[in-house]
Amino acid sequence: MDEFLIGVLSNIGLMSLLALSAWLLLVVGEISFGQQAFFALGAYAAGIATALYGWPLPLGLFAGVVVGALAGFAVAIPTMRLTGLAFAIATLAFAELMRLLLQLWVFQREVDGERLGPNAVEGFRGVRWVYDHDLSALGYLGVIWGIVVVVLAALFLCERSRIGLACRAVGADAELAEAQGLPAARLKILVATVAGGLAALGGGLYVHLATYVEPQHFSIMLGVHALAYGLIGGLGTALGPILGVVLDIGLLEALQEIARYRMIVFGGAVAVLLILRPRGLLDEALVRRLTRGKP
Amino acid sequence: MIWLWLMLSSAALGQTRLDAAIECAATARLMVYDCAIALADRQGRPVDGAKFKLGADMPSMPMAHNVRPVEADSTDAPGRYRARLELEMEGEWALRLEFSAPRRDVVVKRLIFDDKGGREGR
Amino acid sequence: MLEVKDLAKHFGGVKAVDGLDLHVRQGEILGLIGPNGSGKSTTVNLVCGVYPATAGTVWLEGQEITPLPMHRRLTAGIARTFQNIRLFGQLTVWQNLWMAQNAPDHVREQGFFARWFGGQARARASAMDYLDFAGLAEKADELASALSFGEQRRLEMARALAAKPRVLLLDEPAAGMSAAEIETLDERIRRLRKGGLTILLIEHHMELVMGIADRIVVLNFGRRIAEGTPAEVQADRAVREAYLGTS
Repeated sequence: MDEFLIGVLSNIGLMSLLALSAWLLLVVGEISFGQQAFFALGAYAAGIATALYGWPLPLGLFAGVVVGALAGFAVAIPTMRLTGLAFAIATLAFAELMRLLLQLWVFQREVDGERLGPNAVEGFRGVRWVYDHDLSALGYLGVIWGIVVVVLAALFLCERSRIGLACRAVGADAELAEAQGLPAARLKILVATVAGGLAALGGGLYVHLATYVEPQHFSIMLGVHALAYGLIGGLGTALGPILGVVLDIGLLEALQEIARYRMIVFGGAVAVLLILRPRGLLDEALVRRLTRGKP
Repeated sequence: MIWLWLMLSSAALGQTRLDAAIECAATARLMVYDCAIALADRQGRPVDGAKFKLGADMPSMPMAHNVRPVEADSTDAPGRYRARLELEMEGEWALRLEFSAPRRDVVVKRLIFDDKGGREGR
Repeated sequence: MLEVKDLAKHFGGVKAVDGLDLHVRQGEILGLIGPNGSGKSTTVNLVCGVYPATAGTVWLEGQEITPLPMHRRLTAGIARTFQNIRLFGQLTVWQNLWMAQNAPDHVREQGFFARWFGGQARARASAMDYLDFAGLAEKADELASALSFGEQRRLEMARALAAKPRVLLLDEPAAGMSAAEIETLDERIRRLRKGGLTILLIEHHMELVMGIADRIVVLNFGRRIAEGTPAEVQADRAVREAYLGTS
């Protein structure tokens, strides 16, 4: 397969994990501008695990997920009492704080005669597990998409069970959900925890593909895109945010002619879509129409 | 299966890392740059016979800008290579040298591009 | 069964409920009436925990439930309907009932994992009993938002029952209903009492509430101004004044 295509597909897979993370919170009715912070945490944690301590990649990714989920949980506890704009701003503030802390953080170790590890604004270089273990770009693409498929399968199973429906109920009307005996606050915290872990999984995979990260990677731009993908693609199914990523990265990238005007096209498309289809292309009504009659 | 394989494979490759210095000059075509790359090993000795592709990503928006990687050509000068790179916009880019020889490896360099060219920043 | 002691709710300077005592006895229908703005709906919201009381306590079967958050009050055994219909419009009729299956009984029958992640068969069978009762069985798979107004009112009641409550709070269940619909509502509420359910009925429709309530409490300005059988209340002078506005 063409190298360029492998690169684009890898990026789509990685961005999908981040977009799914933001989408999960959209489902329970919260808009987060801060999922990039968990992506960053996952990247740093997984990178430190493999590059500085020689852990195998799966274990490093797992460490990243744990760190991301714990952070997601810790942020959710104080912010879940906030709603709407206040929640959005709180998550953004957290993410910016994380980014600024990473700009200051130096944590280096000598590995094989080379100083490795997070080095403030210089970033974190030399996360070479994939290269040291001679995993091909195509092989790593397989790893990324294997994980994306497993995540999607898990989300589909949840969608069809009571927990998924309860999350949608909380997103539609949290007070009514509470009145039905659903622990809305706890469900939101659970979802925020899972979303934190999911974003961190994407971050862990990203740092091993790029071999380096720096705090600048995790600015609000990344968070806004992750959020927009769910809003464009649709809130009705977990395929929505994936569709959003594919539309932005894939389609616009394929049309290299307009790639330069991409931000303009992207911004315009989001604005028009949010007016025409406030819950995205694959919204609940469409998903219902498409799946009706099936068990 | 793939996981098992990942867990078990632990063959670390040769440890002599490469170092690169890159400078790019603007060309007559908009957003197309001629990049000169100097490769050296850790001891500062020029490295010849390397095969690598030059790609780019924007640190301000990772994963979203896919620049088609271009093959770098060797020149007569020791350790010197050149490549013609087309970017999507001016600004800060992380150039990515993906080596297939002397061994698989990646070197990342940050450059700031404007209408005159690209220089390593920070 | 359900007791409210010295309950008060002040919104700024407005005393919506002001030192209310209320006792709903086991198996009875207690009617709660009063002019608009007399504090009936605020009382329901306080009992369900929509917002905290300024003062006073709420008791269910001798246990104080005042500190419980809203979702725990439902699992404790208090279910309600809403004066302004509130359903999950994007969910189907039966799924609305599924969401309400949070009683200790449901937890015991289904177990934690099966309840949240398991199949629908058991939950659906249980929900269908209540949809049958409310005459909505054929509509089980339609979106709640696609139902008519009267059907939505019935769905609200079926949903409240699906939570297996010990006390049912009906907040103006007859509002906006036709005479025929009110007649079947009357009959349904009687069947529920026969089944042993304790009911607090807030209602504007006098014919309905006077016909089925065992006892009636009359509110005005957040206070109880009369209590007794329908006949006693109808004869009460203070009640007449409150409704006719004579002073």
